Amino acid sequence: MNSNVQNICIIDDDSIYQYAITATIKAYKLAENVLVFSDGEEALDFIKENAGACENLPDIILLDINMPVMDGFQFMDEYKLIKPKVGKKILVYMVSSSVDPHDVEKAKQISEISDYIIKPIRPKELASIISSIV
Amino acid sequence: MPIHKLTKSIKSRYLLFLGTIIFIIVAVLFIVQRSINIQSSNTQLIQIADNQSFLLQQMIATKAAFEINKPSDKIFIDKEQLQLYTSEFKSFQEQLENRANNSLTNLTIRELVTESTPFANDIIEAANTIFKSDDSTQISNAFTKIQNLEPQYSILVNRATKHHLISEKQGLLNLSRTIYIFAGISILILLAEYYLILTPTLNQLFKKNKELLQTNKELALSESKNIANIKELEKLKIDLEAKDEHNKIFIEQAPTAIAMLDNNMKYIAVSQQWIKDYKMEGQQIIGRSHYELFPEIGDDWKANHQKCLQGAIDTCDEAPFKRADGSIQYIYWDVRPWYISKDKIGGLIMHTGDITKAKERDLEKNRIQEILNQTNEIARIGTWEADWEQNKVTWSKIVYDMHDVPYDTEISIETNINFYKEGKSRDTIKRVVNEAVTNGTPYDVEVEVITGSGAEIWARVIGQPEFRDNKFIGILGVFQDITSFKSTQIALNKANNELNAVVNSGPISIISSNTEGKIRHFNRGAEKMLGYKAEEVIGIETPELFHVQEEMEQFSIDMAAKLKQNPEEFDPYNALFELHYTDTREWTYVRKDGSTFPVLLTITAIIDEKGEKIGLLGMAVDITDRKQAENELAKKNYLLNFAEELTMIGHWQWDVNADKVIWSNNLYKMFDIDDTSINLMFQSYFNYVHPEDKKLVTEYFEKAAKEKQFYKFTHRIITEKGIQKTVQLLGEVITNDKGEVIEMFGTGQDVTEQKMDENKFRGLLESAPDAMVIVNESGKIQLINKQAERLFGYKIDELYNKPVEVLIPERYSRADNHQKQRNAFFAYPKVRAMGANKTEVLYGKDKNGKEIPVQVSLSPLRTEEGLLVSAAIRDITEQLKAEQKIIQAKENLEVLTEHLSTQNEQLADFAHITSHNLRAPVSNLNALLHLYDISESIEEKEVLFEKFETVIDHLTSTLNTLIEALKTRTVSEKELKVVAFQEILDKTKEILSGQIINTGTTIISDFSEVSKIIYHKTYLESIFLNLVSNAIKYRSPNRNPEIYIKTAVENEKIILTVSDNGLGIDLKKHGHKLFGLNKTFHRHPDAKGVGLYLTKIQVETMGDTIFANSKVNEGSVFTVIFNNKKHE
Repeated sequence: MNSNVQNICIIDDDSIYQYAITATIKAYKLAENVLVFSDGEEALDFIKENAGACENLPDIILLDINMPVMDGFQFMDEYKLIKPKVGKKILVYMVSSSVDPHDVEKAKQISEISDYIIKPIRPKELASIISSIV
Repeated sequence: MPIHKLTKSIKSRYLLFLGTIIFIIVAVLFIVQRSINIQSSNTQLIQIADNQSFLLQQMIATKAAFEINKPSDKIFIDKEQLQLYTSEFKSFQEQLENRANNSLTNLTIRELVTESTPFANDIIEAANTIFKSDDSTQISNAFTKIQNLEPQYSILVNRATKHHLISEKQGLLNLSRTIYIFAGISILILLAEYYLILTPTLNQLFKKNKELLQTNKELALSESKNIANIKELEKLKIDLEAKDEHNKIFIEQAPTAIAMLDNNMKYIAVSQQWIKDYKMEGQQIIGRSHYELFPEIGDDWKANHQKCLQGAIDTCDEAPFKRADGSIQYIYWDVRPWYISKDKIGGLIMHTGDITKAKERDLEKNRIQEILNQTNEIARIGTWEADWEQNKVTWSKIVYDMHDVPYDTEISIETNINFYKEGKSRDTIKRVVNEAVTNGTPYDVEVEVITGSGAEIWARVIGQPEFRDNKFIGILGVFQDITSFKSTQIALNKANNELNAVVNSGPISIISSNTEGKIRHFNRGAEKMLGYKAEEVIGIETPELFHVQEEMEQFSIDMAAKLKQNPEEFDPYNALFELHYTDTREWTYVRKDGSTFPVLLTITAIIDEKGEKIGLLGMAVDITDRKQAENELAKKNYLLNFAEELTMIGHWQWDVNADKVIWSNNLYKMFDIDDTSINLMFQSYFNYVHPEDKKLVTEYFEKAAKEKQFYKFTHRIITEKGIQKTVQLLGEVITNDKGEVIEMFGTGQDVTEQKMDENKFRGLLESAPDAMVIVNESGKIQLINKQAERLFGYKIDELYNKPVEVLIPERYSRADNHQKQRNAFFAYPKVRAMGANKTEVLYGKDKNGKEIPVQVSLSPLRTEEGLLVSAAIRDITEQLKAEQKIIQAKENLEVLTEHLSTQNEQLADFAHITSHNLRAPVSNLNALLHLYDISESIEEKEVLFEKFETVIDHLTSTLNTLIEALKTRTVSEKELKVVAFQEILDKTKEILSGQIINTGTTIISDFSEVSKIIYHKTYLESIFLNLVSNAIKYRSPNRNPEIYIKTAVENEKIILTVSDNGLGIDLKKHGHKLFGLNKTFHRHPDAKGVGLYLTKIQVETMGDTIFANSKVNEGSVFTVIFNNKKHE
């Protein structure tokens, strides 16, 4: 599976998930680089810093909901504000183990979110997401 | 390593192992078989060889036998037998050779067989020679040759046999050796296989097995926990149902009529009072529709119920409720929704009361009061006369007044009748008037009259038909509305005035006669009066010309009676002289035209100085007018008496100086005195005064004499017949020019019945369920009933003539200007309810200044004392309490609902947590497992295993937290203890001592305001521990932590605050999830988001509240409000 997806960004405070998803991406060679952030704020700071440097920006963000400091929804609120300055189209997927209908509904309301994926995310799913933009 | 792979690997290795074993077995079998084959082949060979040897013997034997049988030199050979043997020998020899050539055959044996072959050939050849030749020598030679060859052959056979035996032994030996070697090698291979191939996988298997067991155990554990959770949920459900049940019981036992209905208007619960009020005893109610039970309920009410189901509240203080059976119930109601959750309406709660009885009593009371009002009013009476001939009705002024029409209005019989209210009243009047006209029947009826101004009044109309010369000429009568007393007094005065006018007017006729009886003098007055000229009568006529015969006869009889003489042949004029008597009496004069008129004639006998008779002098006054007036007066008097009798009024006059008292007839009647001729003095009146009232009477008369003004008063008398009556005196004081009192006059009214009525009224007042306060026009309290005494704590004496504002809290009299309002009420008196509107409660004030919630109903009361106001005051304390209770109950229900909602929320929360917080690690496990499957290097697998551990740790801790949270849900009363805050803090400090020292934390506490609380000790410890450890954990790196813990009482609730100077939390961002599970707000390594979650659950389980205030980089304050907790 050869891909030209450069960067995948993982925003999730769960270290195991971080490891697992990174390992999966590496194992299936789904992306060149995996950016990992433990909360929304860290990710946001990164995006702000690299707003002009397209090559550093992720193509896809896999965003968790429940995180300390800044959660997924708060991240989206902030992201919407800086989006016009970001020189790259970034697909955002909400990836959470929450099956709470409130969360699902709320995610659907946000147009910037491409889909809501309930964990665990399978390699095939991941692959199809990535292939969708390839 | 994944288990299926392990299984596969184990399987392949096991197969390998098994294959080795099978190979070994097969090899052994092959070896042994081969050995056996060789052996058996050799053995067969040997047997064949033996057999050959035997056959050879037999061949030789054939000759011997022959020799025995035929003893001769000739050699006799059984050729046939020999041939048989030889061929056999030959074939066996071939076999032998074949076998010997077989690879299996022992080499030595083969050699021996090969070696034997020439011998055998020789033998066969020899034998053949024997067959062919008949030459015995040849035969014998051949035979001998066989015989010679036989031993050589046998030796070979024997050698072969011997060799065979040896080689057999050797073979066995070889075999066993081979087997031993083989077995050794096999064992070595197997061992090598076992250790090198099988053992590692088995080890993995064992390890896996162990892990599985562990997992199983954990699963069992979590299963049991799940079961516990389910049980917990079940219990909660039962709890909820029990609470529901509790509500139902509460409603069923409520002292008022309450019903709880669901959204379909079906009964859920109903109070006993409800059943009683609506007569539903013995009926199935629960589950049935409200409208089924009350089919009489109309669409408008149904619409109201629908509104209530949308959240509206419908209340009504009083409304008639027409029941299906036709009866009318007066009810009040309060219909409001009850809530399942904050926004969801579960149905309606109806609270009603049956006020039918109160209402009926109210109506009855009003009716009686109405009657009382009427009886209490002093009857105003007017007179009227209807002249049938002229079709004219004459009214007295008062009648005009009462009819509210101008005095000059012409009234015909027709118009008069039209004043009576159309319908019953007018019909009645028409009927009784008709009866009076046709039968002369007097009447006395009560009818309604519409006055000129359109007002309706009730009138008592009394009619007396009048006849002249047996001919009906009209009706005179009385018209009574209200103050007959005053009206009759006016009538009396009028009559007197008229009388005076009559007395002071009219000409006087003077007529004298001489002794012969002829008229000597006839003055102008006489001329005018009688129509004769003086010259017509002087000296010509006697005064008898003007007289009526009957009157003169009567005069004669009277005079005779005076002289006690026989009236026969009596000369009355002479008698006048004899008696020197002057007679004054009424006479009827006859005019010249024959008409008559009444005169008052004084006849005087005139004598001269010598005593000689001169004649008679008659002075007459025309009393036609007077007579008329007198008639009028008599009529009026009649009416007055009538009126006085009706109203039980009499009038009196007291000449103070002469102490002479004059009473009207009715006054005599009132005092039960039959003899109207006695000389009355003040004392005679005073004697009848009730002993207890004598002082009062004296006081009033003295006061009247002193102040020249008579004050109305009432006292009791004991009549001639010994009956006690109550009379009311009114009067006027007359003074002379010097201002000295010369006369008092006035009326006395028998008010016994009124008094009785008043007593009745009082009785009514007393029996009234409400406190009654009666106030006069100037706002002074006149009367209060016992209930009022009880309510306000005053006695009537303390309140009599006190301003009513005494009973009203000052703020009303100030703010609302009660006095102004009162005046306004008197200006437009009508029944008015106060304090009945729900929004504002009216208060009264009792003697101690305590305020009482009341409802006040004002109604005007017309009495002889003027307009009074009766205020019915209802103490609504209980009602308010009941209302409060209902509101409380409702609030309780709401709180309960709230509580249930909270519980629901917690359950939802819990479900969410179990879904999210358990799903997360499980999905991680899945991901890791997948990675494990695809991982190729050991290192990778090891790393993954570490991750597994982390996930499992996380899972375990989440489960523990959830279990902790679940445990928190049950607190029984028994677990509550008096706990000292200091003690808890000490324990917390002890636990956190390491952290406190390491971080240099300062903890300051102030439990001076509240030192103890009744609480669940463990929870309080946990709350303290979590709050304090959080304060330390999230300290600011720039300063040493300072924690300030304080208890206080606010709004009667205990409050605990834990303040710190730490990092603070951005509540705008995180406020909503501050107390959520696994919610963290700092990138702190120890932040797990468990502490506050548990704290909140513990606090809420105890029915308390926790919240936080915080400023980033300044610190946080956590506040726990202990609702309804006692502090020792």
